[in-house]
Amino acid sequence: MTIVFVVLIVMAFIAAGVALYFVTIYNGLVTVKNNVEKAWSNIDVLLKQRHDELPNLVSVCERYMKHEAETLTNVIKARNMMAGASNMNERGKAEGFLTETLRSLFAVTENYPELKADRRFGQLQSRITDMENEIADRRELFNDSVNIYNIRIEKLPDVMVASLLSYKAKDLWQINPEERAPVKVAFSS
Amino acid sequence: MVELTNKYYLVTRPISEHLNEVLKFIEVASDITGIGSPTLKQRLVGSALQVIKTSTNKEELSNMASDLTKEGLVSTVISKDELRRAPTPKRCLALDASTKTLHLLGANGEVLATINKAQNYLIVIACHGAGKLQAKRMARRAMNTSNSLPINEILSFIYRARPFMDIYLPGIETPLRIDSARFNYNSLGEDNRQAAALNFPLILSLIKNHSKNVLIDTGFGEVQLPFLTLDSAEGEALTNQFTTYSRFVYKASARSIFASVTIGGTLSSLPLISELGGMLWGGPILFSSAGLGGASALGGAGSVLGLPGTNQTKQKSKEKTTSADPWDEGGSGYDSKTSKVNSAGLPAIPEGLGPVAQKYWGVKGFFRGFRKFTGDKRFMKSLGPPALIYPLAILTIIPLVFFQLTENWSLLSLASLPAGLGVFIHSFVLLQRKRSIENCPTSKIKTMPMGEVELQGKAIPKYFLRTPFSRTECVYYSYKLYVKVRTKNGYKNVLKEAGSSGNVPFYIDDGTGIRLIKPEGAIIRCSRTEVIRGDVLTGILGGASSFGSGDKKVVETIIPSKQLVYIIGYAHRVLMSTEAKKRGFITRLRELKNNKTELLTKHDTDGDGKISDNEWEVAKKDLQDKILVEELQADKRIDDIAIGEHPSGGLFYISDKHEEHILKSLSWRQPLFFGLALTLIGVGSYYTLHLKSIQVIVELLKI
Repeated sequence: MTIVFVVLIVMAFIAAGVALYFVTIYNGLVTVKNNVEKAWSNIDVLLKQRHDELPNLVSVCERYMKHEAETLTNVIKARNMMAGASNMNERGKAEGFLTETLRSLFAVTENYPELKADRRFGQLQSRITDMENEIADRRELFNDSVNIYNIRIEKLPDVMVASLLSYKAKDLWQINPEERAPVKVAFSS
Repeated sequence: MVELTNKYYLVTRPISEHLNEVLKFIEVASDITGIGSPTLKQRLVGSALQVIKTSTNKEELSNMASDLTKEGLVSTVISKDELRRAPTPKRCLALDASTKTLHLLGANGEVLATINKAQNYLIVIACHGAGKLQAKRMARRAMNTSNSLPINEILSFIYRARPFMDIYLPGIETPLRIDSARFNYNSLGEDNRQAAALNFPLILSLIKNHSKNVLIDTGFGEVQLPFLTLDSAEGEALTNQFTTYSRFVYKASARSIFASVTIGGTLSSLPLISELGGMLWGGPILFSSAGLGGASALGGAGSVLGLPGTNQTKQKSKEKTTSADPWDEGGSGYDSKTSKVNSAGLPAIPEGLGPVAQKYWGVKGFFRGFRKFTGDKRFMKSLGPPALIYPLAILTIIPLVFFQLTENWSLLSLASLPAGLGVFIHSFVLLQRKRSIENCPTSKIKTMPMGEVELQGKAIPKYFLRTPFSRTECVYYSYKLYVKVRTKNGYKNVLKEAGSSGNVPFYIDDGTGIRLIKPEGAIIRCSRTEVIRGDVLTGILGGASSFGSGDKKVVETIIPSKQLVYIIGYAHRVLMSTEAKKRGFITRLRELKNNKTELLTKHDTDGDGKISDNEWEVAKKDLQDKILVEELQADKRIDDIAIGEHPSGGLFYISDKHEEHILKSLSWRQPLFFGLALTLIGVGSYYTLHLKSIQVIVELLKI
């Protein structure tokens, strides 16, 4: 009789252990999912700040770069694309396009010494470049969070809970294929 | 033989700062010394030691000193040669107050001396404005003979005028000098107040708190020593004169100049300065109560420090063995008799109990045991939620205590049930910890988000911190002192003392930036240990015999400085305290008030060359706005964001291991503890169900 009691007690603890284990898995999955969203929101804050700085940058550039209307239009177009992006994927793509247009804008400004000498332009350029770097770092953190999430929902035993919650794999924030293309270096002589 | 070349000084402790209280002593002092009344009126009124006569005849002066002391004027004789040979003080540049004792550190962080509760100390304090202080005292006395400068005002003046002080340790003639201009205030840790005027009282309080009794002398400048010419002395010349003066006070105190005396049937002793934690003041025998904590209860006579080297001191230390020590009991208010009375009411310990059982006998013993097993809060927290772990610890300890008393083995089964439940909870805490670490990606400090973060980088000390035994520079340490004791089965190491550096903040640097870590509430795991034993340890412990005579061993666990650490915690903005803000505002306001040019240029709106009340109000408002803007702009300072405890109880974990190692270790520990929990519960239930009383309950349940 005593043995039966003991076995029952141990079984009860094993059952409690299994239940607690699944609770831990469930809580963990909720945490990683929210971590991904938080990591994205942290990038979004910077994107918003950069978005707000762009009109100022364009207005400063316009005064000096009369013949670079196309470049400036591209920046505005990219900014509008960002504003119109409705989901994470679209925003990611728009962000890539914007980064590229800004890069070409800053490259073109090399031909305008007066613009380069403008204090306000210098401030804006440095602020936007700092933000770019911060976005790059946070993008890394975002990808880490997505990676953890994707691994979690595919691994046993988490996959059982994840399928119950209908959790789907999320996309990493990848760079545009053009950015990955080999750099063409042309020497003048 | 009379030494013709040497001079001797007859030194007297002043009676009072008020002439009317001194008058009755003048006549008798004049008779003994042959000094005229007007001169004595000058010399015996004040708060500092006075040289009332100089002579080459030592014997004559010694007789005078003896006669004066009998009349209530405590006096002694000091030779000029003694003062000429004043040793050069050692520079103390930092403090280490991280342990129970206070270490005074030199230029390379070496320990110059250790202040401890077993000793008395003498501090002679002065400042670069000593001449001005003397003038201030004289002016105050001249204006109103009954209104002397209170000790608090004297100290406050000293703190503001580049202070310096000499600390005399028992048995060491060379003092340790702390100079406000050459002191590392960071070593004061969190209390560091960034200005000598604020830090000096803090240093004094620290010394007082770590020592038995401290006597402070503030008389530099007031004492009329023939070799002191403060009017023209500045810089190095002034500190050289101070060296001689401090030696003078040291010699006088070693010859019982600060002993208690009976005047008119009333015992008068040293006054206490309440602001400095009850530090004794080497002031006049009859002192005014202004700024003082009241008369000291010290009853006995004797030299300050119990300094060796004089016959009087030796006599005093002999007296200590037979009578109450006035330096201890009087100052702390401790009464050894009371403690005996308290313990008398406890029930007698049953005979036949072993020493361990005796230790944990009764309610007191139970709590001693409970404290022993659950005393380390950081450790208890790492086991699981305190609300569950503490009750389970109590439920485990109760049967264990009874097992020790009765040696009834069946009680162990009762202990194993709550213990098993505790281990069960702990296994899930480990699982949760593992998953928290796995779930959190590692951030770079530069772009670290607020909220839960995981960081890896080098630990950089914010404050100077060293381990108490191996003296390793570190950001965190804990230590355990074991003493080897003989048992029935041989020898075993018994834990006698344990301690840690507590919650000293430090920085983490990952190459992209630096952030502050506030380890309060963190689970700290460090793998590096230092074991100190043998002669090295005996040398460190010195005379501390409270740990017994057995072989001792200290195990220190350290996170050394520059060690790579892993941290998971909660990043948050640190808000400046209201008090600190208020202090900062007042300082800025004072600066503005002193800068008349700026004040008039910016705020004299009516151009009358004066600042009216309204203009001052506007100036204050402007300053408030300016400070607010500065605060908002200063958001990138490294101390503004700190990693600390999660407000809702999330994981705050600091380890000197890499993330992968931590996860690997948790991977096997979690199932191991789960298995152990099931075993304890299984075995515990089996034996518990075999207990007769339980069987009766089971039978009843069946019915």
